[in-house]
Amino acid sequence: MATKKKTSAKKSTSSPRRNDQAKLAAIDRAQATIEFTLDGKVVDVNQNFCAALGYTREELIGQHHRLFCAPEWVASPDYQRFWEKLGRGEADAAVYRRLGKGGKEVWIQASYNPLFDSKGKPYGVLKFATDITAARNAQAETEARLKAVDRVQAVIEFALDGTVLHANENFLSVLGYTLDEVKGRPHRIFCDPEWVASHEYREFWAKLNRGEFDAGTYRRLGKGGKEVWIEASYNPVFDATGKPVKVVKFASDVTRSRQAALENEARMAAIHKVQAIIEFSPDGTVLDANENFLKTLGYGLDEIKGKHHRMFCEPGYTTSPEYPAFWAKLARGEFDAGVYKRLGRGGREVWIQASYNPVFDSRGKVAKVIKLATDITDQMMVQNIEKLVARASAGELQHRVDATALKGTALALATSINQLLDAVVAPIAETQRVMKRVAQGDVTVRMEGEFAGEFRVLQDAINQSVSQLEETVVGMAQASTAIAAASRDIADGNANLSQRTQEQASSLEETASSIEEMTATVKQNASNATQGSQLAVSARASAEKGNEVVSRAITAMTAITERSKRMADIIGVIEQIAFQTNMLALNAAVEAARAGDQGRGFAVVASEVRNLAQRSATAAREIQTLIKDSSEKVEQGATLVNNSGEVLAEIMTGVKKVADIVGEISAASEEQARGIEQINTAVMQMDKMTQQNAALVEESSSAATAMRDQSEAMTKIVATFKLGEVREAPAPRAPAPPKSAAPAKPKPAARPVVPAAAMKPSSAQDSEWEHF
Amino acid sequence: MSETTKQVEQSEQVLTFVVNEQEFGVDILRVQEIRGWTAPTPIPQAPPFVKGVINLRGDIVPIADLRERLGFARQAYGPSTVVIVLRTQGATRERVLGVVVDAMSDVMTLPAKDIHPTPDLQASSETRHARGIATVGEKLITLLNVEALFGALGSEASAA
Repeated sequence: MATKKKTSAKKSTSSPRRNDQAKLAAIDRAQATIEFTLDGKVVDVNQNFCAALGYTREELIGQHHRLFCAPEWVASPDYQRFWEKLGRGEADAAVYRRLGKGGKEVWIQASYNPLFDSKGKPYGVLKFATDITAARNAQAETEARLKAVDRVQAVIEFALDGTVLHANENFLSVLGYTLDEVKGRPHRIFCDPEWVASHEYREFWAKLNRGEFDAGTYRRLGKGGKEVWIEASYNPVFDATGKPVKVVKFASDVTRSRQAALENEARMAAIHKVQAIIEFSPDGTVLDANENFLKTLGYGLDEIKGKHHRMFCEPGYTTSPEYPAFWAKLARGEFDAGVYKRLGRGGREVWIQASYNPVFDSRGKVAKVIKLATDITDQMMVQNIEKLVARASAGELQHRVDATALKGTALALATSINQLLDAVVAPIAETQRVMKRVAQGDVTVRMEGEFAGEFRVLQDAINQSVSQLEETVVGMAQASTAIAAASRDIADGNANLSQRTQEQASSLEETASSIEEMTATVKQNASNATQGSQLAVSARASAEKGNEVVSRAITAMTAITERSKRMADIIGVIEQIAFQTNMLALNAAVEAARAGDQGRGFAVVASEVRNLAQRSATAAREIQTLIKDSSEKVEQGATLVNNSGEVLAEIMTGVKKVADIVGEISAASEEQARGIEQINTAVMQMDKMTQQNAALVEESSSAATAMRDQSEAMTKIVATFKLGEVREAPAPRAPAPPKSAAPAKPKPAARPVVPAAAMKPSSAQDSEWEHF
Repeated sequence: MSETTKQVEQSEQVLTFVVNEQEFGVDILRVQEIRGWTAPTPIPQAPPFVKGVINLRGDIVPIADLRERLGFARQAYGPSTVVIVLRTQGATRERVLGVVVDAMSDVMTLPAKDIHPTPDLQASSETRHARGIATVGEKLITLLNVEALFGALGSEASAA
C-alpha cells in the first residue's frame, strides 16, 4: 500500500503532496529505481540504477527486463510466473542476481512494486534496488577464510565459565574425542589436574573473562590421558557493547616438535656428562667450560674464564704461524677435529680427542666456538708401550720406555718392561757373538755366561750345535779326500766307456751305410722284377696274337684243301669227257675204216679228235697229279701250323709262369725292402741310443769332473775352518802307519788348518784338545 | 696223208687196246662199236669169262671178259674199262659179241711188213688166238684171232 501511495503521489505531482515528492526525490537519490510496463518493458530508469548496472538511460528505455537476467532463468517457466505474479498486482522482494553491461555480475536487494491506476487496476511495476555486490563478496570472503581456518586448525569455543560450546573436527581428532563427548563439558577435562587445582588456572580464566588474550604452547591431555602439546591462542569474543561473551581457541598440534626438542635437551645433558666441553669466543677467549673439562685439566672455572685458549698449549705451538691460522679457520666457520696435545695445570701433558665446532648467530656469523673433548692421555701411554713392544717384536731391542716423565703405576710398568728387554738382550748378544765367529769359520768358539731357564737351554743347544759342526767339518775333510780318489776312478772309467761308445757308434754307422746299399739293390731288384713282369705280360699278348694268326692260317689251309678237292672233281669230269671223246673218236675211226677210202678224211678227223682227247686226258691227269701234290703240301702246312699253335700255347703257359715268378720276385723284393727298412729303423734306434749313451757318458764325465772340482772346493772350504785338531780318516792311514808320525797330514788342503787351529783355540780356551 | 693213202694196199688198220698192261689189237673191220662199261644181265650156266648179256638196240649181245679168256687174273672194272663190240664170222653167219678190255689204246695202220706171224710155241692151243704180232717202234702188239678165241660164242648178227 505504501508503494501504491508513493507512485500515485509521484504521478500526481500536485503541490499539496510536496512532502511526498521530497521523499521520492530522497529515495531517488539513495536508491536505484526502474519502472516497467506490465509486460516487462523499461519505461523509466534513474541514475543510480544506470550506474549499478553500467548502462546509460538511453540504452535501457524500451528494453525488456530480461536484458538483466541470466538466459537460463529467462527461458524457465519461473520467469514467466514471476511476471504473471507482478501482473496480478502482487509485489516481490528478495536478493537477486542480475547481469550488468558486458555480463558483469551484480547482486541487488530489490522490491518489485505493482502500480495501480485510480480504478485499482495495475498498469506498471516500479522496482527499488540497492547494489549489494560488494557486501555480498566481503561476506563470501570471510566465510571462505573461516572455512580455511577450520580446515587446518583445531578450533574450540568456550563459554566464559569454560564450558565447551563447540569444537571442530581437527580439534576432536587431535585430542581423540567426539563432539558429543566434549560439548557441555568444562575446559579442565583437557588439563593436568594439578594445574587445574592451581592458582594459575583460576588466574588464566579470570584473565580471559577480563577480555584479555592468551597465547603459547600448552600441555593438554587427550582422551585416555594421552599427552598432547598444542600451540594455541585463546581469543575472547565481544558483544556489541564490548563485553566478552565467549572464548574462541585456535590450536595446532605441536606434540612431535615438542618431543624432539625434549629429546635434544636430553642428548645435550648426556654429552655434558661424558665429554669435556668448553666454549670460546671466535678470537679464542674462554667463555665457559663444563665440570668434565675443568677436571681434565685441573683448573677451576674462575681460573680460566676470560683467559685465552693458548694457556692450554705448548709455547712452541702458540708462537708458530699454524696457531693463528687455526683460529682464523674456526672464525671463518670451518670445523676442526683431531687428537691434540694440551697442557693441564702445572704443565701436565694431556692428550685429548676433540672437535672445534663454530656456532653461528642468526645472521650466519660465527658467534662462538664450542669444543667437545675426550681425555685420551692413558690411551696414548698404552699406545707408546704398544709401539715399543711392536718394535721389540720386529727385533729392535735397543729401545726403552722413557720413564722420566712417569710416576706411580705407569713408572713401575715402564721399569719392568725395560728390565724384561734387558734380560732378553744379554743372551741374544752372546748368541750373536758366537754365531758371528762360527760364520767366520771358527768352530772352536762357545757361548759363555750364566743364563737361566730357556736361555740356558738356548746356550746348551748352541754350544752343542757348534761342537757337532766342528765334528762334521773334520769328518768332511776326511771324506773329501776319499771322494777325490773315487772321482778320479770314475773319470777313468768314463773315458774308457766313451771310447767304446765311439767305436760302437762308428760300427753302427758302417752297418747303416751297408744297409743303405742293400736297400738300393733290393729296390733295383724290385724295379727289375716289375719291368720283367711287364715284359712277360707283353710277351703273353704277342703269343696270344700268334695263336690267333695260326688258327686263321689253319682255317685258310682247310679252305685250300676244300678247293683242291673240288678242283679234283672237276678234273675227273674233264677226264671223263676226254675218255668219252676218245671213245667217240675211236668209234668214228672204226666207222671210217669201215667206210674204206670214203672214210679216209673222216678217219683223219677222228684221229685228230682222239689226239685232242688224249692230250686233254693227259693234261687232266697232270693237273690231278699237281692238285694231289699241292693237297699234300697244304696238309703238311696245316700240320706245321697246328704244331706251331701248340708251341705257341706252350710259350703262353711258359710266359704266364714267368710272369707269376716275376710277381713273386717282386713281392719278395718288397718284403725284403720292408725288412731292410725295419732293420734300418732298428739300426737308427741303436744309433740314437748310442748317441744318447755317448751324451750320457759325456755328462757323466763332466759330472765326474765337476765332482772332482767340488771335492777340491770342499777340501778348500774345510780348510777355511778353524779346527781344534784334525783326526785323519782311518782308511788312508792304515796302509802307512809308520809314516803317519812323520808327515802327519797327507792332505795338503788340511795341512795349513792345523797350525792355525792350534794357535787360536789353544790360546783361547781348548788347550786340552792339543795332542801335539 | 697222200703217203698213207699210197700205202693202203700193203697195210692193215687195227684197233689197239690194253689188257693186263699188254697191248692187243683187232682188225678194225671186225669192230662194230666201242662202248663204256655197263653191268650186263648175267646168264646162268654160262662159262666164267662170259659176264652176261646186254640189249644192244634190240640185239641180245653176250659180254665176255678178255682178261679171263686170256688167263689173266681177274680185276675190278674201272672207269677206263670199255666194251668193244665185235663181229665174228660164225659157221653160217656173222655173230656179235662184246669183249671187255682194261682200256682203249689207239687206231693205227700197220704196214704188212711190220706184222709178224706168231712164233710156234709148243703148239699150244693158245697160240691160235693170236693171228700175228705187230711191231710199232719198240712196243709189240698182239693181233688177236677173234673167231679162234670165242668160236661159236655170240649172237647172230642181224640181217643188216
